[in-house]
Amino acid sequence: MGRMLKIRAALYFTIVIIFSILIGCGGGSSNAPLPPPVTTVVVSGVITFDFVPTDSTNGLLYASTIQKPARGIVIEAIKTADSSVLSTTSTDNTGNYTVTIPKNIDIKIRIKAQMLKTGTPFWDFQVVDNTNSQALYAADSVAFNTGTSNVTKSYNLPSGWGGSSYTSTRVAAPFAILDTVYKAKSKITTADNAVHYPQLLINWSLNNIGTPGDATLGQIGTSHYDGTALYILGKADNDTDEYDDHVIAHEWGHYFENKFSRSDSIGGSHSLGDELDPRLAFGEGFGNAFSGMATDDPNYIDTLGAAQGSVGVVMNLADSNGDPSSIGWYSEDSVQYILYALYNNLGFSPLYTVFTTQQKTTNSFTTIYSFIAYLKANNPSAVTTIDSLLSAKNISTTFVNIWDSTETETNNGGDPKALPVYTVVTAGSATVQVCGNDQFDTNGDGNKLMSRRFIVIQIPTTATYTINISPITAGGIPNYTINSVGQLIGSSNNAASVTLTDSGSLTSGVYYGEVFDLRHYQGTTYFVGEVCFNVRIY
Amino acid sequence: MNVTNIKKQYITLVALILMLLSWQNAYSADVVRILHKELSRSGKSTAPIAISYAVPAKTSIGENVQVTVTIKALSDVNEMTLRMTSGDGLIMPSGEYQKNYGKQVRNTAFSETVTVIPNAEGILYLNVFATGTFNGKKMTNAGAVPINTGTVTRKMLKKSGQATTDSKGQKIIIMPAEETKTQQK
Repeated sequence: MGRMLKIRAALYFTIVIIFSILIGCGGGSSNAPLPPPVTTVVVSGVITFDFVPTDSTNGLLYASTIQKPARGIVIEAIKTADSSVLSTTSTDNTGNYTVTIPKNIDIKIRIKAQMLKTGTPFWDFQVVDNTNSQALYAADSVAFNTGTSNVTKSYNLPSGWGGSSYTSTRVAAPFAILDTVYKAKSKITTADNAVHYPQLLINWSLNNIGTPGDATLGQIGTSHYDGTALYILGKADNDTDEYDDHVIAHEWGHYFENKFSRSDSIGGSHSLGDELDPRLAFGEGFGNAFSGMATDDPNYIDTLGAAQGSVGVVMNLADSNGDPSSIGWYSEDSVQYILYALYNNLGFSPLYTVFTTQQKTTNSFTTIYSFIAYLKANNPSAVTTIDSLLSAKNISTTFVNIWDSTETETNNGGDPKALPVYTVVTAGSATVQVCGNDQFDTNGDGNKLMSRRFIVIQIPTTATYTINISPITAGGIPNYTINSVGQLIGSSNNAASVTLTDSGSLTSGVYYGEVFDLRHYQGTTYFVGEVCFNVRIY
Repeated sequence: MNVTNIKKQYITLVALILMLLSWQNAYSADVVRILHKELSRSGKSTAPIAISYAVPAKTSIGENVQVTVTIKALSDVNEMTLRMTSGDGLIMPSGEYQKNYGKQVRNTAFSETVTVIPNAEGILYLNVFATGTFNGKKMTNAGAVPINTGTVTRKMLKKSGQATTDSKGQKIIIMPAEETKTQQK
């Protein structure tokens, strides 16, 4: 009996030991905690969009469509049960995204036509539908279950082209626009990576058509920046611009100029070959030049027409020949050539510095003269290069200040009275003569060379002064503006052929302004001709 | 005074007034407001050709509508042409219109009138393309003449996707993304 007890005890003891060993075996130290259960999976992939290249003769080449990465685009993982956002990220510069999502849950991936970055730098660029209450474009995937292991979900955003026309949703269009914005923003970043971009809405719709009127109906006139937002054409078989990257970059350039520099451009209709108000020439020349800088491609191509198979405007920004019908300080063609060549010679940073500092606070109108004066001052070793570009476009190389007050310019555009660029008016000194003309304004746009003439005003001491403008030409309707560092400080609103007098106090210093005939300013359907005024400040 | 004569004069006067009123109403109904507008060149760079048009302010389905389009060369031009095509819902009984004007000097203008027939309600468009060769470069301006038909102006507007509101209250338009088999890099 005792022996049996001993055997049972040993057996019992052995079982206990074995059981204890089995409990202790956990694949590691017998003291390590068990790993937590897996509750999330990684969903990742690459987002692309159909990119349709342009051709300088045949417009959009749909047969050559390629898929490009959608860069910097907002991605959301949406829980389909309640439409809540589980995770938000942005694609990287190769179009890749990654989100971590709870396992075994039904979601869809939402690709928003938005580039968003908070902090410094900051940007929020959105492509919205101006014919649908500025709703943001987005593309949703089909819903799927996240399962229990990591999953790859990649998506392409199609152009909608069916071979001879658009036959399905033009999903790619907003993302093609943002791809150009990405390039433009990246160019700015090469000079300044701490920019805070004000939010920009880019209005695009397949209803956006080349007639002015109600933008909520798509009647946007043409692709443009209106001082607040971009509007881009999208009407198939008339004119679409979503794939015309230089057009997009040109308009985005106006946004940049408006927010970070200063543009005194008076806007309005303009064409290559026009003799323009020099402020408009600089603004539009900059837009074209910037389109080449942003894309690093001098070939500006604007497609249009049936099946987008034609071109509207094609220009080579690096072509020194350009448009021979307008060469000089009043030509957007000349300005774009000079600025693009400066970019190739000096890089983007020197130009960016002038735009965002001195040009922004210049005590003159923003023209090629102000820009070049500052660029030369900042980059004395580049003066020879700069002067060669000015010479190529028949612009004075010897002007000593932002107003060319020493009257070095000799290119008068065909009318000797177009010079000097700024007429110097010294308070208390003799009367000066200023003449305007609408001979360059074939269509009555009011924004051409000599529609308004510039004056630079020297005020020796702080006092109250009177400006007196009297018509020399019978019927002349005199008007003026006076400005200081981009601010309007005095102007008239005269509609009569009278001697105009106006008084106000001015601090000693230099001011600049305009003198013009009301009819030249407004533009008319008939030619008014030359109108001259005597101008005196006392 | 003869009462019968007074009555006759009164009736004649009333009839005359009524006749005048009906003539005035008929005249108002026959007067059609014509819109004269120029297509915008304020924005991206354009060819130096201005396009303007005249079109009735309002039209009806099935109506013969006369549209006059004027193009003006703003610079000396070679091979100036005008082409007009119909947009959705618009019929051009004589087909697409095209005319060549050859070489022209600055400030020369031409006007052409075409007949179009609206076949749908809403804002329909006549596509206009003005082309010219300027200093050896061929350039085209595109525009569109609006033909305002019927009373529902938004009827011809196309949609890009499904409009909705997301969880944050932002208006969004949902379009379909196509899954691919692209491998993540």
